[in-house]
Amino acid sequence: MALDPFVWLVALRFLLKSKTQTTLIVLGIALGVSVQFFLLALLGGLADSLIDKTVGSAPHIYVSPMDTQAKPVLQDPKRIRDHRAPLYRENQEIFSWSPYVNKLRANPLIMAITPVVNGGGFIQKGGANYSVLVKGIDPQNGFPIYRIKEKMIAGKPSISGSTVLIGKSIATKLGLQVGDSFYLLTSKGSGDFLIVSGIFDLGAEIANDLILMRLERAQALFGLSGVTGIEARVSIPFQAQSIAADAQRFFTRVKIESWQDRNRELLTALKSQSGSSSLIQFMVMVSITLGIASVLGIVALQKSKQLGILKAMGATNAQTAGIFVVQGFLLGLIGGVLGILLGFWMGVGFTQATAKSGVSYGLAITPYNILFPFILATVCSTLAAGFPARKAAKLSPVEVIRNG
Amino acid sequence: MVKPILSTQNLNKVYPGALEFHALYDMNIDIPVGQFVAVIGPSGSGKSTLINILSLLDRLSTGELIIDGESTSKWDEDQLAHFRNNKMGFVFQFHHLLPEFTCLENILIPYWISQGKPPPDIIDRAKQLLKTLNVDVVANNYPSQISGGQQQRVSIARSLINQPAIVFADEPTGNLDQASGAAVVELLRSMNAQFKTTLVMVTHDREIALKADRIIEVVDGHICHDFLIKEIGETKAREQLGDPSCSNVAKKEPKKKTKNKVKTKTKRS
Ligand SMILES: Nc1ncnc2c1ncn2[C@@H]1O[C@H](COP(=O)(O)OP(=O)(O)OP(=O)(O)O)[C@@H](O)[C@H]1O
Ligand SMILES: [Mg+2]
Repeated sequence: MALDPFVWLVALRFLLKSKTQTTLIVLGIALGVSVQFFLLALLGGLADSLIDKTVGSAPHIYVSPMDTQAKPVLQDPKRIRDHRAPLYRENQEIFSWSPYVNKLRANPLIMAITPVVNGGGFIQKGGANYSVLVKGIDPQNGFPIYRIKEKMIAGKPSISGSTVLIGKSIATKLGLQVGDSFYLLTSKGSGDFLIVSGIFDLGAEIANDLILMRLERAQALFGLSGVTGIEARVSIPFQAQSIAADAQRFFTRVKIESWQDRNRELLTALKSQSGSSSLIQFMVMVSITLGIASVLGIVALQKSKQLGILKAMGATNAQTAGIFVVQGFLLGLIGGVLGILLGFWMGVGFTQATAKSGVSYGLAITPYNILFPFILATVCSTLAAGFPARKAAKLSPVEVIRNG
Repeated sequence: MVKPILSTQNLNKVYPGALEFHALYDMNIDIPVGQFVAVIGPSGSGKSTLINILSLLDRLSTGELIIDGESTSKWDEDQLAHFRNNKMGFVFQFHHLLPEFTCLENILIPYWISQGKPPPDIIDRAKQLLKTLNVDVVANNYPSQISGGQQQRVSIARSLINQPAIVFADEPTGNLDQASGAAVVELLRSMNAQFKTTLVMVTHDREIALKADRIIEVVDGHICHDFLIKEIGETKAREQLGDPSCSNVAKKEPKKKTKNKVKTKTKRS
């Protein structure tokens, strides 16, 4: 039935003959599809840009000591406390990190992994203290995690000895340029002179308060023999959570977290946003379906004379019904194509408008975002045609013949 | 005797519903291959009801309709549709061409229905039919752009495209003036002669009915006269059709059955 040339011939003629009706219904579908596509692309683009801000130049997996909270060395409650004795020990170091690194590296999705030393410090300028974050990394593996090479805005992406990279915020606030040197005072009280070999911009304010130096240098500066953590980048960021959870099962002394674990609010927000977008999409689809069902229902009524003649001449019930199913399919198809084009046009207009006002993020134009509303519209309008199709199949030719 | 292509046995039609109406009573009709039958009778007598049942458009209530020796009572809707498409042609009273298609396309629709896109030889056949019916000049016009008589001739061409065994025409001249009406019947007559097509035509026009081989007069759902014009002669035929006694048939002999015969017979009561 679906490939019956007679059915297609009549369906096409019916659509072409009532041009106004066809145009209106196609426009209706196109509008619905364009809204859907636009919504998907817009929200997808927003989510992509938020996620990119979060994980684009940040680690996806963090390994840290299980307990970074200070805890009492001795647990005996009967013991009289000596306030001068160092009762609390900070368990903040990982001494042998290679088992963790090896375990994670075994996963082919891990693109880069490095042990890190994190610490805090100050740079003094005039009378003010400017607080900074210090991170010691192995440049070979650490740069890709932060995509340092792409994020450089001055100097060269290289660190060695006392040359370091600094974030944009530090550079602007302290007026530091490539080649300048400054004195870094750590939270542990130690300090050192360092030279700026490059400046990077990771996008976010806090990430630009960072000083990157060699791992060994940071260990020396903070008086550590181990590392404070391990960081890794994953080729498919959304896989980070399961990779982290998998690795966690093997170790009890470290905590392995993903970026998702650390950004729950963001993910919840995105999820509820996509939930409300699904609701809107559903509503749009329902209105398209109802629109097509009712318009084709009217067509079935208007064309009942023709349908009666066709049946009298031997068109079967299935063929008569098929005429409407094909009409629904064609309307959905044409409306879908137009809708996607319209959606593109809306999207381009929107991004240009927002770019002017300063906020800019791209639309997510993915095959899914294009095909989903398109296929949904086609399927829905084909299904919506089921109602008039049944009506057409039930039509009795004698009634039509009798009454002229 | 020629084998009947169509025959009915005690055919009755009752329209169901609140206003139940018994439209046809115990009809026995045999139509041999190649015969040109005119069904005549006053308005509301049941002519359309009869032709709709004979042409498989409507179902009978009781009795049998036998086509080519086969009972049609067990046929499902698809079988009926198929048979209508392959073996039957239709000329309706109100032209009933599809306004969405040109005349030539309209003629080809019965072919499209069962066989799909028509090959060149079928298109040639359609054009030939248009020429024979003298409407080839309007082949590419839409039905709304041609006259009623032309529409009727295009309908006749359409009824013949699948080379049917039998053609049904319900008041094919109803909307035409006398001259065009006569011309259309002349055409049907010559189609009947040329293609050996069996023809069943409903008309309320006596002159037109007299152009057929046989006349069946229906009054109040009963067969009142059924004769071959050739056998009784045209003068007698005219007399028969004028017979006022027919209007009493139903009342006087509601149960009387006509005999299952093709031969001339006149029923008097
Ligand atoms: N669907 C129906 N339901 C009930 N009664 C009907 C129906 N169709 C026809 N009838 C009745 O059956 C009778 C015969 O109708 P039919 O249409 O066969 O008459 P006809 O001889 O063709 O008349 P005309 O010359 O006016 O076309 C009429 O009395 C009509 O009212
Ligand atoms: Mg009638």
